[in-house]
Amino acid sequence: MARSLHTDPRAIRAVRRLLDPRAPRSDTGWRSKLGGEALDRSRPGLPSLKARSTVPLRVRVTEAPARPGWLHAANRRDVLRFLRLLDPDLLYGLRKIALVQGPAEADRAGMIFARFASTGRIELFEQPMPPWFLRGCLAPAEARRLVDAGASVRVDDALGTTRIDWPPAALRKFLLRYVLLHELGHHRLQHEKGKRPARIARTRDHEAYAARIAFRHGAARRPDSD
Amino acid sequence: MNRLSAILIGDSIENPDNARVMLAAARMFGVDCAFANAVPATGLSSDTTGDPDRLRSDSLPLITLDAVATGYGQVIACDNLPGAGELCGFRAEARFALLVGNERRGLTHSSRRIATVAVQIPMQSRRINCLNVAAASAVALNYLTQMRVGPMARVADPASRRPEVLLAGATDHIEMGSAIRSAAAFGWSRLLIDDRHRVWFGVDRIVRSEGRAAARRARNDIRLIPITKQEIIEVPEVLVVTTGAAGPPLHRVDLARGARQLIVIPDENTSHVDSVAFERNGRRLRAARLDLPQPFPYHYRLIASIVLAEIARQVGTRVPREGRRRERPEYLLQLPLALEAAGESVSLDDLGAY
Repeated sequence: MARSLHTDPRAIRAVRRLLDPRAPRSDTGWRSKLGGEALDRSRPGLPSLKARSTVPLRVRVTEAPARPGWLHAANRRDVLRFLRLLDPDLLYGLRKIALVQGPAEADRAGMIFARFASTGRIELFEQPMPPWFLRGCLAPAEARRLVDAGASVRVDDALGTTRIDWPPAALRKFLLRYVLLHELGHHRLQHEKGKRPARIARTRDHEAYAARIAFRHGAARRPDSD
Repeated sequence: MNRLSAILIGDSIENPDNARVMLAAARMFGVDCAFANAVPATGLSSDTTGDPDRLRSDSLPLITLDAVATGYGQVIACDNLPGAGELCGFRAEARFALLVGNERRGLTHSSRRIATVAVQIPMQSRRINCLNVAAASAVALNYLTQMRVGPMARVADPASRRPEVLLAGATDHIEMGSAIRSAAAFGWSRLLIDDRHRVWFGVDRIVRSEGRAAARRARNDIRLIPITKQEIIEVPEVLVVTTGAAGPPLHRVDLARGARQLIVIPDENTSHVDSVAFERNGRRLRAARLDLPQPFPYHYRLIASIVLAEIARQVGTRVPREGRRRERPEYLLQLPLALEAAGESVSLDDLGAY
């Protein structure tokens, strides 16, 4: 009887697949299905800690130059360095992170930071040079989040405008620790569906899960770790 | 191009004040103006006030549609008709007639029949689908005779390119109302109002009703925010557009810098532009000029509508999505802003007085 490796816990499976993406997916392999001799290999168990720390990054990170007046607060090198600090569990199945110019969505209120597109593709959008001038008042919870990340937020209720100032390092950390981790949370959940373009959860639940992942992993990072 | 070879024709215009402002719009661009109907005399301001400088209803020039059809090689219908082309980027012949229609019903069947081509001013609003007829005439004449520009921009995110607009110092409530209507039609969801002459906020019931009617406030859900000179508007760039000689021509200036840009349209009738106040408010004060060939009776709605139309052209409209979008899960992370309610901000004093 073939013993599938697909049901391994994700933490184990992620490390194994990142270490050897083309390994057979069962301990008997495809030869046995053809009536041939079974592969002589023992069933892999939980990878050692050493193996987990040397998991290679199997994700492409690309960067398109920002337009004049815009910037990528975290560049390709920052993203790669940050990814190396993360659990393989979050990166398993991730194909590409693209630092791109403005989003194609039109007429959306607010500023768009990033987009997760199944399967395994994350786009981090360029941002305007600080300070940011927003048309509309920022919700208090969002303002608090930005302030916690190091921004200076000034909301003018009378005119309905918001000004956000960012120190450069704070904006980079915000984009990595909150925005990128949030999108990785989407990926972590959606990856359970494999390549099928189907929603695995309601949008609301998807967002809540992504926010939890961002909080959990962002809070676990040391302040100077990125 | 000989501008006098063009003519603006009003078809079934009802409101004599609109007819008067249309004459001013035609004078502004050095073209003739005539009407295909007799405009009702009642209600024309000069008929009742006795002002000798203002137009009398019996002095409106008339023309028949047959004379238009035979006398002008190109007859351009300006209305949002099916199949009408975009006004921006349209090149008219040297001798043309521009037809604009009734305030409520648009062009009549007779005038549509003689038209050789139809153009429309691109509207962005779903609720306000047309301009005041005199404002529309000015916008159309501007693009047909004066401002040679390309078509409306097609961009991915027009909302992020739309600048803040401040209507400053209007002296007439109807002119202000028509300018507000134009802003809503061109897609603005909010406007800053410097009401230093008290024509919009805290006015009596009659003035208020007339102004709101001109702005089509029943359907127009634009948010109006009153500001005073003392208030600080935090934007890096302030651009003041006037008909004076200062600055580069309007269409050569980048008017699509989004919320980082404040464009001020002052009423030049009585008020001068207080550059000191604007310099204090913005980091950089720039000026742009609206080139108009002829001296003309100033009407704020005309200037404001022309400027707003050019800003809207540069801001652009979204690229139409082709084909059926593939249903794939996508999740956007964005900074949510509190939605602004439609309406007007009022002070407690005004509310109490009302």
